Amino acid sequence: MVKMPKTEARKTWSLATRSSPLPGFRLTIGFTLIYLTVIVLIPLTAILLHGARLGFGVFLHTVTSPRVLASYRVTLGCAAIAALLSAISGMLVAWVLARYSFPGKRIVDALVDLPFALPTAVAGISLTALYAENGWIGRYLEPHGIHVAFTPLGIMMAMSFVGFPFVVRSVQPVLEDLDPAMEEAAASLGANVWQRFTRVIAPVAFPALLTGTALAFARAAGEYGSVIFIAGNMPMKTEITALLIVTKLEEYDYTGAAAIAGAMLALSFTIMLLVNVIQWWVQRREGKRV
Amino acid sequence: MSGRGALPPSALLRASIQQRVGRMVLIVAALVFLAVFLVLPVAAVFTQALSQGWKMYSDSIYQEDVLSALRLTGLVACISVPLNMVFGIAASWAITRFEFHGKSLLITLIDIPLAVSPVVAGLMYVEIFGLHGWLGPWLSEHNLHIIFAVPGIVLATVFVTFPFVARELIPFMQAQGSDEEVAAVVLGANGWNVFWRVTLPNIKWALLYGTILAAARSIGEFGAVSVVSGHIRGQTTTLPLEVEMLYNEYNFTAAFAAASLLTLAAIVTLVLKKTIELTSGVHQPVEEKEVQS
Amino acid sequence: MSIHVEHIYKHYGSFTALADVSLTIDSGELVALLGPSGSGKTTLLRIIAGLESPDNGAILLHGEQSTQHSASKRGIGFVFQHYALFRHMTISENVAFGLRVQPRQHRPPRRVIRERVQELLHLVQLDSYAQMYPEQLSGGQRQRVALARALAVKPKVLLLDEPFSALDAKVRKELRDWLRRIHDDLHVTTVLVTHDQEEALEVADRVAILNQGKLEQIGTPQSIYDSPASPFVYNFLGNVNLFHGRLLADLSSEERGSGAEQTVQSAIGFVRPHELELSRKLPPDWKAVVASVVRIHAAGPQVRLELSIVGSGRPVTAELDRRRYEELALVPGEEVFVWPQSIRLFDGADAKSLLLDQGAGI
Repeated sequence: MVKMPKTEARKTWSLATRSSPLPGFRLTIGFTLIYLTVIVLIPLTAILLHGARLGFGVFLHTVTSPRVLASYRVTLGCAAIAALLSAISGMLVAWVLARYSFPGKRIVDALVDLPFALPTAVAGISLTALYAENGWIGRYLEPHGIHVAFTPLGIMMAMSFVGFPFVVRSVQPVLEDLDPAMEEAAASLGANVWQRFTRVIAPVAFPALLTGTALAFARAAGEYGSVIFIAGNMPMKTEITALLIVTKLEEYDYTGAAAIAGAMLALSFTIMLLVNVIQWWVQRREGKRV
Repeated sequence: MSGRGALPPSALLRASIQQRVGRMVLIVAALVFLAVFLVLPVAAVFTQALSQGWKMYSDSIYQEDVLSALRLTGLVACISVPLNMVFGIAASWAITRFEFHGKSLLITLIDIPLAVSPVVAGLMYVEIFGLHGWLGPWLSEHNLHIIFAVPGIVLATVFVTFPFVARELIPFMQAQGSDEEVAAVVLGANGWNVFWRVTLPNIKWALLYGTILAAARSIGEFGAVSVVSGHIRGQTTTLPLEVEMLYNEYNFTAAFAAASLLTLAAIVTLVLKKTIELTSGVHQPVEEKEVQS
Repeated sequence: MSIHVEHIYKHYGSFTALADVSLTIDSGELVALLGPSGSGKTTLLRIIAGLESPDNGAILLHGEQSTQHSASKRGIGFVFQHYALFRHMTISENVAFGLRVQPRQHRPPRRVIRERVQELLHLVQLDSYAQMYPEQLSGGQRQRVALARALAVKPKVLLLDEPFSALDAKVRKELRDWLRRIHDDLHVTTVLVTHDQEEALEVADRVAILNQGKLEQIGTPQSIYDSPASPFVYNFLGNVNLFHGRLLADLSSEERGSGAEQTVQSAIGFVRPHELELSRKLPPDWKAVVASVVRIHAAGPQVRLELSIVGSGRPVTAELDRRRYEELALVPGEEVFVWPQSIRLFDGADAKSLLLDQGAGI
């Protein structure tokens, strides 16, 4: 009886669901996982554990003390309004960039990413300079009693500055990918301009708008550098949660800092979950296999 | 009842004028908004920096503190960016070329730094490497300093910037498909050959794009670095931190001068990004085709 | 509803899409606009639809000036090449769309809309797909939905822009037949744009051939095939063999060999593959060309032979029915006599008198 040589398919790590002809799975997945564990997972766990070690009662007490609560109010309240502002302005800019052409469009398109590219500290000091009493914008607002610098309004301005690109970059590709034939089909079926917008364009663009706004909100709530210069940072009034954490650190209250950070992480993860749910819902709605 | 010949121009024009006016209004509104919202802050940086004249400006920059902050920022970028490039390539190779359980969890993990507040990010490393942290006692024993020293800054920067390269490469490599690489393997190439000769040339623009984003972010990171750095002037102060310090000392001109350097870097980043987009087709939306037949 | 296209001009920048195109489509007709890419057929269709506006000229729908009416007001149904279904709506929502966006006064009650949608889905045989999304359907199914959607608002004119070109051959043929049947049932004036001549000739009552923005010919499929008005039309509608030669004055058979031939002018003769005769013997009263057999395609109802003229090497394609082919029993490499049963010339001369000039490089 002839012994047939064993042929082995190129097997990848047991994690793999299907063997692949390409090499390098073990190497790359190993490196990726180690990197993520060291850089992300372990540090994250450290904070969460520190918070957990407090015991639920103390944890709750820390994260709901008056000053902390006030900081939530300021941070989340301003972030929500800023996200809304970003949504409106972002939608406008995304629409114009996706559907119209005009001279200098490429420059404008590149400009949208400025808040991404600009260091937050730089944004912070220049926004303060603009909106201060004698600033280029502030000088027109002050006489009308609109105080921006060192008030929650200033916080909102800074937050919407950093959140704006998220909305544009979420909505713009969706609008650009919209098949013009769909709008023509709607027109040929008798839909007027408004109906075409509400029934054909908006339903497709809305989830992207939601995603972008959620991301803008997340960024705004965690923002530090752009906000602390313009905020005024008065506890209970214009102190954002991120600053409160830093303050606690400077006071060597590591526990307090960790506890509040834990609360902020919970918020971050919730928003990430929300964004994933939106994506999943869109795919399901369009009948794609999830 | 039959019309003949050309239609009076006004009838056709009326519909398009309405459309055109609406369009103009929206475009102008968007442009005005962007000018006030985005351009003014940039202009303000330079105006403030140069408000006391050019000499004052260059003197502020040639201060030892500013220069060492500049050097430190550059050093941190030079370490964190290549590290993150390697990670980005490895992660996107694993994710786009293989099937395995937990892929979406992995992708979510990669997105975490984008959702986490930078201050929390910095705090995470303090929790581990700080004096009272997990490894704190061990580190002091061996006289190793991470927090309040350069390694800590590098770590915090790496955390904040590592998604960028991966997030550029993953959709790009996904869309490209693995056909070419499989062909190379069939022709007898080993792993490194496949990577250097086939994959890398194909992804080079997307890689460059992601690297530029990561570099811009590592230069500009403030919150996370602020927490881990200890603000020791001349040693653990990056340029953004130096800006803050100068500002808090009411040395506004100097603060804006330092800020202007960072702003220039940001503008260069935007220009490079756009250039890559336009010349290589990375990220470019499909232009509408004219219906001809 | 009839359609009058009158002296339509359209250009994009320096490119002229349509130049002085006029035609009339009678109520209830199915007309195909046929032509190669860039011929202007889709542009013309979109102008009729109101999706583009002409630079000059007029469109009348049922005698009414419609040129300045927008697409939503013309009472037309449009079917796109890539379906253009609303991907975020179910199939029944797609079909119902046209009815739902009608102004309040004209809008039928919900119950009526639902019934109409069911009726249409039944017409296109997609009843069970009502709650699915376009993504879940095949290309052919999506196009049927697109048709149902266009028909939902009972349009007076149905316009289809290369509706089947994105589908594979078998599906294309099925939908083609099916479109014809629906047209016969509903009698809606229909205009179909296509680049596939077989499709146009099979489906349409009349075919309009466009080339580079101009209307070359319009007529029934039979008439344009049998009497093409120009070389372009002839060429476009099927395979052609070209024979270059010299035109002689009409000679009776006795005079032919006498050396009294007079050349009038050089000309090109157009011959269809099935109009060629092949034989091993030279027919007594006719000159023929000698060609060698290069390849034989024997699969199918007709047998196609690729030949090469001895001497010049020019290719000739001949089509024989099976019986004749089996009679001849040709093999590749053999030489055989080839001559046309009829030739078409486009300079008005009588076909029979073309002298086939072997030497002159036919």
